[in-house]
Amino acid sequence: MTTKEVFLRRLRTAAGPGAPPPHRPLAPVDRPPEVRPVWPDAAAPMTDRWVRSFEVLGGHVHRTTAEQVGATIAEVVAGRGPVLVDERVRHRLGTGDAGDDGQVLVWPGCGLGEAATAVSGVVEATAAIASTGSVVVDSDRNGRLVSLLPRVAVFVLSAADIVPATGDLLRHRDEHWPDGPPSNVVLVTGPSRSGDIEMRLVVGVHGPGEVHAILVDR
Amino acid sequence: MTAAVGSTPVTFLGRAERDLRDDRLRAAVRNATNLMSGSRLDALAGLEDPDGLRDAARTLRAGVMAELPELLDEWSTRFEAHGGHVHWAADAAEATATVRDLVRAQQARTVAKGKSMASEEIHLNDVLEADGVEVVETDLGEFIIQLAGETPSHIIAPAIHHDRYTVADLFAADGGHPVEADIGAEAAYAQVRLRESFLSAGVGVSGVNFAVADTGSICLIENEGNGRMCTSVPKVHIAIMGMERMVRDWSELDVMLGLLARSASGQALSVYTNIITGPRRPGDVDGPDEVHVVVLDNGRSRILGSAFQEALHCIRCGACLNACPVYRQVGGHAYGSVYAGPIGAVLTPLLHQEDPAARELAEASTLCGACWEVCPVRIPLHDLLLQLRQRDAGTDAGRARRLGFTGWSWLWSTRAGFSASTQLGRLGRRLARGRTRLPGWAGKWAEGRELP
Repeated sequence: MTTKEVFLRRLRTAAGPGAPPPHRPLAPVDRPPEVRPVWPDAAAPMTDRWVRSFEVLGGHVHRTTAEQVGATIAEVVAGRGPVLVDERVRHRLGTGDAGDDGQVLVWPGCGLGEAATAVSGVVEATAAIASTGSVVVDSDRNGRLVSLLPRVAVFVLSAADIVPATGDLLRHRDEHWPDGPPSNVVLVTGPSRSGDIEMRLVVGVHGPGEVHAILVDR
Repeated sequence: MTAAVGSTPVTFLGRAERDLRDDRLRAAVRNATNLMSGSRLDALAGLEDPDGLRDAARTLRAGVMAELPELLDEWSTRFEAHGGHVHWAADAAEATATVRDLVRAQQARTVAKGKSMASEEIHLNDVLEADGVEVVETDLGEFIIQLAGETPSHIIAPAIHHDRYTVADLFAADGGHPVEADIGAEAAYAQVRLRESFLSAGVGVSGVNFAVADTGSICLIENEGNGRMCTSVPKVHIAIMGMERMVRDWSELDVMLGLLARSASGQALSVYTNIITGPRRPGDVDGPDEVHVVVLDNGRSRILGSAFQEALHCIRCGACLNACPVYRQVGGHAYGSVYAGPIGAVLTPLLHQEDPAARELAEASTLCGACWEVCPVRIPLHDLLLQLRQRDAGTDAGRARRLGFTGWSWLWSTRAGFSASTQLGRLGRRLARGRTRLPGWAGKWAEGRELP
């Protein structure tokens, strides 16, 4: 028998029909219920609701059009230092010549040592979640490190990809990833933070302390 | 039984007595638990029907336990199909040996580690360090307590017993230069200090919050980004997972995520919700070449199918710690276990059934039910604590305890008896001086007590 079979057999013995019913009765549940948020701005368009949630977390929103994406990215990263971007989305995002100092580090070609010197990283978001202010990034589009190593994360997001709540992403994952989930999906909800010392909030502990969204309107 | 100065008392009461004298510790715990309790209430108010969601979550967790072997089988088959590796560990020794061998195979000298209660439970760091490996705790709170040589005092805020001044001293000793007692400066010190470890570590170690059966994924949540570093930068990622972390599918994951961060820190979601489905794939530009998950039993299968099964429902939010009138007074170290507070008082005696010191934790509760009130998956922790006491009452130590109380109440019901008992006590104390334990029944009783 493999270690897996031994392990699972021990569980099957334990979880057998002899298990007593719970002391307090269970609520009947057919399937997992929706996680429904209370909307303080239920009349507002979904885009505005996401903007509000993202800004409450400390995020900065830059609204633009499809034609102006490259120029808007350049404005946001200008004067900060080297910009990191994934080779697969570089041209789609128009970051060919981002930054007034012109230093674009293309990941992974630039190497880990160079990438670690980047001040900002530009990534293409898969989706965003209005109730939580989250941005969703995945490894099919962007390297994991592009939105992680630099101090400033810049998410390029289409307003059409904003969903109301987490369930609209997680329960409809096939709409975003028809071939199954990529190896890495991250829901990024605000800047990196810690409350580990005296429960006081500090941002930018290991991940980016500054988050920007370039929001491309429909 | 009274401990010498500087050593750790061996009983809960001894440790509690020590920590109740520590005013700075108590102020820190009070501050942290108040803040987290308040944030939790605010966050749950952001949901339409939080109580209905919690009721449903309890039923979903019970459903997972009823099919745990099948779900683990499904999850591991799919995870392996994505190129991941799954290891099955019956106990702590098997789990740590597995990790040690994987680290050896990489010839890794440094391991970057994200916060993981399961790895604390199996004392992974001790085993790796004994093998000559440098283990770097990368969560800010874990890094602090690693430098202090301590264990976590709270599930989600491991260093709440420290303040900026003690942290500045620890960081100054670590860096060999003064560090300003300013929280921003301290976070910056840790960021720079640990960045090098992330970039050079051959292996990253993390915990697992949930494993999703229907896609063979694991989900890790964290706030700092150190978890993403540990699971993205090193060539090999090893995750330690308690076997009860399973959820059936992404809908169940949604329910659990909807409750976990709100109950823990009052966030709608933690900053980073990572869903990992195997190692890097062709076409990926980064990520680990290998992902290993070590599935840990370590006493859990004895709880499965027992009257205490709901202890396995826990999603590790820490809300019960913040609500507990005992935890709020004594803090986490008094429990003498990786798992503190009400859930620790239930889990510790169940996971370490052979250890009489663990058994006494069931007494560390007022049975007020505040833990049950706040639990996101509605574990009736006070019921379980009571059942543990009932079970314990059938043992020698429990019988001795009852006999002792019966004797005292009989004696103390008369004035002469009361007076005699106090004189008897004084005599007993003189007799006991210099002895480590009393004979017979009294010795059993004294195992859990200090002499007056």
